[in-house]
Amino acid sequence: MNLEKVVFGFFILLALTLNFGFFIGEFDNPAHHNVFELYAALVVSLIATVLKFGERTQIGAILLAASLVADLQLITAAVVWGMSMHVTGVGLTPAVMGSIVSLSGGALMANLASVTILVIETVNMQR
Amino acid sequence: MSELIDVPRHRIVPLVLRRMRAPLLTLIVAYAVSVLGLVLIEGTTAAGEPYRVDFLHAFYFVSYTATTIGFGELPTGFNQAQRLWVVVSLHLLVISWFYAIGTIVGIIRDPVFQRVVTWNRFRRSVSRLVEPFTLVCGYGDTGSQLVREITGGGGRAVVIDWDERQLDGVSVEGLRSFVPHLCGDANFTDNLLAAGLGDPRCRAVLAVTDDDHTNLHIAITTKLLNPRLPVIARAERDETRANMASFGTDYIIDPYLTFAGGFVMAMEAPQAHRLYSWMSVHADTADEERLPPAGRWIVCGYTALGRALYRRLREHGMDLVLVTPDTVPASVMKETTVIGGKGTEAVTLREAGIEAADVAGVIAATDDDTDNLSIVMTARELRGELYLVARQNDRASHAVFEAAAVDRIMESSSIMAVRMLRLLATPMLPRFLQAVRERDDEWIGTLLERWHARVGEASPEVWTLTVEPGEAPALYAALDEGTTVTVAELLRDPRERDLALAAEVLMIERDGGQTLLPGPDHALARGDHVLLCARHGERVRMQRTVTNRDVFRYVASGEQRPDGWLWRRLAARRER
Repeated sequence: MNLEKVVFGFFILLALTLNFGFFIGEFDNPAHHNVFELYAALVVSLIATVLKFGERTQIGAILLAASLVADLQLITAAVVWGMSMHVTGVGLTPAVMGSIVSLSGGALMANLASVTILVIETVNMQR
Repeated sequence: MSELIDVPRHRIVPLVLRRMRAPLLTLIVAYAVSVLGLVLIEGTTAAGEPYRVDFLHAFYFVSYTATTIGFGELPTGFNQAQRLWVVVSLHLLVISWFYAIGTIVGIIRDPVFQRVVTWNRFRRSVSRLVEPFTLVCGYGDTGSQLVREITGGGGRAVVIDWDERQLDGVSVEGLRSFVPHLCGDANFTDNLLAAGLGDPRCRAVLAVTDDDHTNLHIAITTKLLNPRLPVIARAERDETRANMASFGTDYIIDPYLTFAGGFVMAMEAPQAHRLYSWMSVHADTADEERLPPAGRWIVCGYTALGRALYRRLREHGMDLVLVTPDTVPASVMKETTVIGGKGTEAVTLREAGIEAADVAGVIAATDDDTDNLSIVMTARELRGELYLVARQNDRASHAVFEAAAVDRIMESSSIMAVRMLRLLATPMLPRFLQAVRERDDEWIGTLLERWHARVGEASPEVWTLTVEPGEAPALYAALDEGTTVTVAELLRDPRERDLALAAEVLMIERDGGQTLLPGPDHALARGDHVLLCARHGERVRMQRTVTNRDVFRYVASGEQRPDGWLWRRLAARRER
């Protein structure tokens, strides 16, 4: 067992699960989507991205790309949240919540792709 | 021809990213912990009511604190619990920033990283060269002379050398054009490929490092990866020469054998020697030069030069005495007189028989410049009229050797450079000289007198004219139409066709066959390679003849026909 591989897999899976945790719930109901969960998902996603840096393989490149997509979507979701609360002051209306959750849903897809690729690669190694 | 091999550039981004992984992770974690702490700790508003800092403001605060900008406690003043947390997070953040910056600086200063960056930059500047270039491996005395001559003549060069101090010369010497140079080992194929070995614009490879094995490696790599590319290599050892010849290295040059060969020729065939020096790129004042007389030679030092002289002198049945402190192979001992000692003292030279009447001169061939000068000075002291040859090892001591006023200085780097430049500029000339050398010396003498009268005593311009549409369109078109063009017609003066240019056709090569000194009635054919020599300035005139149809028509037939679309039509109407 390789500790590096454990940490790598842990963060990639954690990014997916946290993202899923934030995403699940009534679509436009602010009560079902916790800001701390979004924060945790964003931080873990960033860590997962850095862990994928410097891979020279084709698989590594796709993993990095998926992570970057997830980061982009989560950061956008966080910015939308901050804008609505503090800049425009409209608060978490169903419309705002809907766009935040759908952005995180996009990130969820990217994270899902990451995990799928990881699983495929692991299965291919056969050891 | 097989596809030319291109070498990919080294990837820098993955290298940097992999090393930046740990500092970036530290930064992300430090930020995340600090922001989270600020959000979780309950604050107090100015009115004394409890509130929570939101993520936006927490991130804002952490961002300016981490970079030590410090706008103060925003949006409202912090309470004691918050301040406690800020103290912790401040140290955490600043330390992680320094860690990250330190790592970046470390990467930039890392020799591996710098080597990769220089290598990439070198590869890019070579691939951006537009003109054809010559690859020079080794920037020692020979290499620097070659590069100076090549760039001075308007050509481009690329240099590889492993010694950084020697390469400094490329930037310092003020060469006429920018010369991409790499400090690296020419034994690595990647370096050679980056230097343009597989590039179609590469004209020739010159392997002139001071290591036989490296030169061998360069030659074999070139012949394997890009067989069409001519290789001129330096080789001092017999086995290296044989090895290089075995896989078809185009020209293999040993400076010592070259010198020894020329030296023996000057004695045996003085006229051929005069012809050689007259036609060399850098003519020494050939006629003032004192030619070595026949007789016994005292060779001091059984070095590379000593061995070459020994071999050549013996081959031509000339007598010599070797003076050397080193042990000499038994076969040499048997065939010639060997005196122990350096030859720097009068005693040793006397022992070698310097005072005998049949001694022609002394050759100082040791590897040490001071010894060589000392030998020559001692010999002059003993017998002033002897012919003195001194080997100059270090190019920097040229002034001292000039002052010693010996009859001939043997300096291997310039011998190499001159030969290589001649091979690069006119590869036909050495073949011509070789063919001439087989003739009688008297015959060469009369030939030389004739040329002196026609072309002048100063060294002529020697070049090759290839009869092809690109180089001689007018001549080619005329031959294409079936006109017969003779050598005499080619040599007519385009200003006055009854006069001849101060030029001579030396040799014509056609389909591998040679015609040495073709007569005036010799007809030219398409695809001929014509070797010419002429007084400086005449080449431009001949260029006009072979490129301009009007000039050519005048030269060939004396007819001055009007040209241009309108005049051609008018002339056609007049004829009708």
